[in-house]
Amino acid sequence: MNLKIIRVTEDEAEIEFLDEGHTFLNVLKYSLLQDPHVESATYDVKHPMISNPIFHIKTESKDPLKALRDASLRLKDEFETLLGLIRLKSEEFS
Amino acid sequence: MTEARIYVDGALKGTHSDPRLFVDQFRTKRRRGELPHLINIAFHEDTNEININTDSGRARRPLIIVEAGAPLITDDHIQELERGELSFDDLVENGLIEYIDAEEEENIYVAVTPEDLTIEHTHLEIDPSLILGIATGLVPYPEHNASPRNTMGAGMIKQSLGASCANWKLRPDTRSHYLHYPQLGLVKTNAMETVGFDDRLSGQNFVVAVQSFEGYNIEDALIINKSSVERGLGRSHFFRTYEAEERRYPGGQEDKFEIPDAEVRGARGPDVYANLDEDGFVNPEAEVQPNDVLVGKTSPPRFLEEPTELGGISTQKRRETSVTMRSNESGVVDAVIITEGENGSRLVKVRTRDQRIPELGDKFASRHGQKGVIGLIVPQEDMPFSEEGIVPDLIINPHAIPSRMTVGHVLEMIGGKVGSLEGRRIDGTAFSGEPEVALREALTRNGFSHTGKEVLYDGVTGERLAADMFIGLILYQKLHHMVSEKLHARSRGPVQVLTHQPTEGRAREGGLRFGEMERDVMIGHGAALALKERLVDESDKVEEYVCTACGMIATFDKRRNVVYCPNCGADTDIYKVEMSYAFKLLLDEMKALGIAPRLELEDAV
Amino acid sequence: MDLEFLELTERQARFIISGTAPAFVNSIRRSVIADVQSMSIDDVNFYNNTSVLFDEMLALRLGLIPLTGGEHYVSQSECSCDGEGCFQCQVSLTLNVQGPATVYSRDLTSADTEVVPADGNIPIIKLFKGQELLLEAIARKGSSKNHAKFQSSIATSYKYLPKFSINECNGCKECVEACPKHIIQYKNRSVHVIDELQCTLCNLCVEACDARAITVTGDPQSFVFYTESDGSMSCKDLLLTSVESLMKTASELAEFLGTFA
Repeated sequence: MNLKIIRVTEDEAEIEFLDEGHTFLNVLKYSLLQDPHVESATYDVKHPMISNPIFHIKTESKDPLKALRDASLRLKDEFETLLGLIRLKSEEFS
Repeated sequence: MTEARIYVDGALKGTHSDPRLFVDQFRTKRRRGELPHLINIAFHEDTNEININTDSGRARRPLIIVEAGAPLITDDHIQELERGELSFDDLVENGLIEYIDAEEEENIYVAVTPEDLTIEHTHLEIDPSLILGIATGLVPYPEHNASPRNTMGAGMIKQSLGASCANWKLRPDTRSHYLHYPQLGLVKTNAMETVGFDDRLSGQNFVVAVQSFEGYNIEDALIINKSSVERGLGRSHFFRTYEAEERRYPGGQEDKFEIPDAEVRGARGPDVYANLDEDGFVNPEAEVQPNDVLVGKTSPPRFLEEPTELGGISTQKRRETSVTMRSNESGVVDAVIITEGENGSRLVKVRTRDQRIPELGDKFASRHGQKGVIGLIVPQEDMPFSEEGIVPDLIINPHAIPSRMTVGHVLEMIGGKVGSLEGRRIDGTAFSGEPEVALREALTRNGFSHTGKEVLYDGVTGERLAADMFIGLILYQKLHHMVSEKLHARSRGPVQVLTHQPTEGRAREGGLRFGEMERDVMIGHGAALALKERLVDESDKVEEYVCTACGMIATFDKRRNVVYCPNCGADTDIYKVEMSYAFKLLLDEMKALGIAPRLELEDAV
Repeated sequence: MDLEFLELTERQARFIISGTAPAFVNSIRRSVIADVQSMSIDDVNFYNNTSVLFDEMLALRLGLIPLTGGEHYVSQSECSCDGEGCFQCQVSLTLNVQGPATVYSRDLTSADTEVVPADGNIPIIKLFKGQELLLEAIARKGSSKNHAKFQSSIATSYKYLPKFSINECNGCKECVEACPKHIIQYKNRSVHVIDELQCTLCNLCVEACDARAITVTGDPQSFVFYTESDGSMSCKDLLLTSVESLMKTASELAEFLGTFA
């Protein structure tokens, strides 16, 4: 995981991702927004050809990096569930 | 009434008292073949003149002759034409069709369709689409476009890349292009078949969505699909042929194709000639970079003997006159053709090829005058997608449509969509193309909305786009204005010998002209020193010695290390003055005219 | 979250996934298109090419041929040989054909029997009498992020699950005419939708109805997902690989952050 933490405070974090794009970051944002402690989560790419995405998180009474970790774990669980479903349902289908 | 004057090709030949009768009888004779069909006659009532034109170079068009409200061509004639028993020229010979030039057109009343015919009409259009010429005839649905856009579309068809000839491998053209995968346009016109455009294709059918996308297609820029480009969309090759000849000079000397050795004047060292084979020619399929040598050639010295610095005479060595690759082009050697020139001397032509993959700045256009330059190349997964997984090859901005009124473009998109769904070509000929209603019904038949719009989902967020987008297929052409041929930069570089000013043109690594209007801008801002910087410091600034006694330009004698004035002999009170070399050149030119331009010097402020 | 397959073969898959959000399904779609790696010809050494096409054009055509067997290889950037090229990250295929003949993808001979063209009928070029093609092609593993030739899927997409509600139909049958998919029928004094899954959410039926009897919505939590494989891997492997890749990324991020939080 190639990322640079630009700024972290008790309720804000700014992170630059070097190897990820919309494929992961968009669903990461969705997962973060499910957390009631997350006030805002968004990411921006200044120019698609020359800059990396910069993620910005603002939380309320929660450490932003912990919120990010929880969001990634939630995603991991959801993808894992989906994997199981694909394996199971494809067996049933054939 | 006064006699009408008759002019033949501009010369007054006579007069006639009944001009209308004269003109009628003239035309009748011409239609019967008693007078040549090449002559046109017109009667101008306001000036009471009859003009007869016989000269070559007039643009004329054929029209069906109408008498008493009925065309002279009947269905029988048409059947005979179809069976091949009659030809078009027979119809002209028999006085059923005549060619009308611009001046005679003033005297006739043309009906566009047989239904419009009345007693007063004199002629009938063979087909309404024939009012257009060759290039405009290739534009589909032109009657739905504002006319300037048709003109522009016709012009850009002439600039498009395609498959222009079948024997391109054998031809050493100085510059030529070849599109890799040209396609037949889904929407065609009758003129295309007549002209043979279908055998010399240019352009490809693109899936185009009309949508504002991230701001990268503003002001006519286009967004192109990266994956489509990687699969070969819009890919072309550019060829350039270089030529070299072993010239023979009076006195028996001649050029020679060889790898120049160290003896030759101007030789650049052995590694520059590394690509060359023993015969001095580069091998086919060798990769060549800017300024690489393609043909090694040496020429005899300009003068057999020249004085040297020490005061003696020495024999001159051969010069290096190799042919090199242009300084801003690279590529692969495609072919080396060795042949004989006009005088029996050896001639070699080297053709290089360079692959051009669409990049930011390359110009594309549809046939309706909708041109644009690539603004962004977007990966397939970022593009908006439809439920079937269809993703646009190109996204154009909707702002390009309303002010330009190119409805033909929109119609062609619908037509192309129908053509691809039904597996056929759509007829878009002027005035007789497939009507819009039929196209929309065809869309419904094939499972798509009659509006041409589809539900698209955003590629980045995955959510359904709030509005349905208009998406269709249209023939887009790659024009030969590619950014790699235009990109040019210079900080310092070669200057002209005469004026010491920067050279002109990209091929000579030139500078951009700071013209009169730009000068006015600087004056308007009061930026005097910025102007001076542009015109003097960064151009041809030079410091010359000026003699205060006679006001002429003085010289600096290097050997004696002293400044003196050759005009008046003074060697004091000579000062350095900053001027542009062009000014010094002006002084020289005036001196050549016998004028003495004397400069009066003042103290510097 | 729930999943129900409607279609599943080696080459095609269609399923309904529900209980999730567009962002989630979109990630899967993007991963299937861009993150899944497969083998494709990346480098070609031409020993003899007297055909009518240039080396560069032929190389593109060779690169676009889908190759199987990617599961046994790693991409060059991840390989232990540091980009030098070894048996773990690249395979050699050769082609040797004399004209007159049409060269097909089945004429490629691979050094590894697992890595072969997924389809043998892809025409590469037509050779005429006296023309010859002799080349060695190196295939490597990559994803669509490197070049579109590595894409293993075709037409990957989804739509919101269409949901209809019809009440108080007055029998004007305007919607039956208007539907481009022809899935509305009139029976028993009301219109019915046969095959709801065909609906594209175009809403032309809603616009056509004067009585406002019909409503169509796309459920933003249920999706009909469709993908096809180009033959380089089975559809099931395509889906599993893409979701595994996403899961791995999420897991890596969590692990990385675990050292902080």
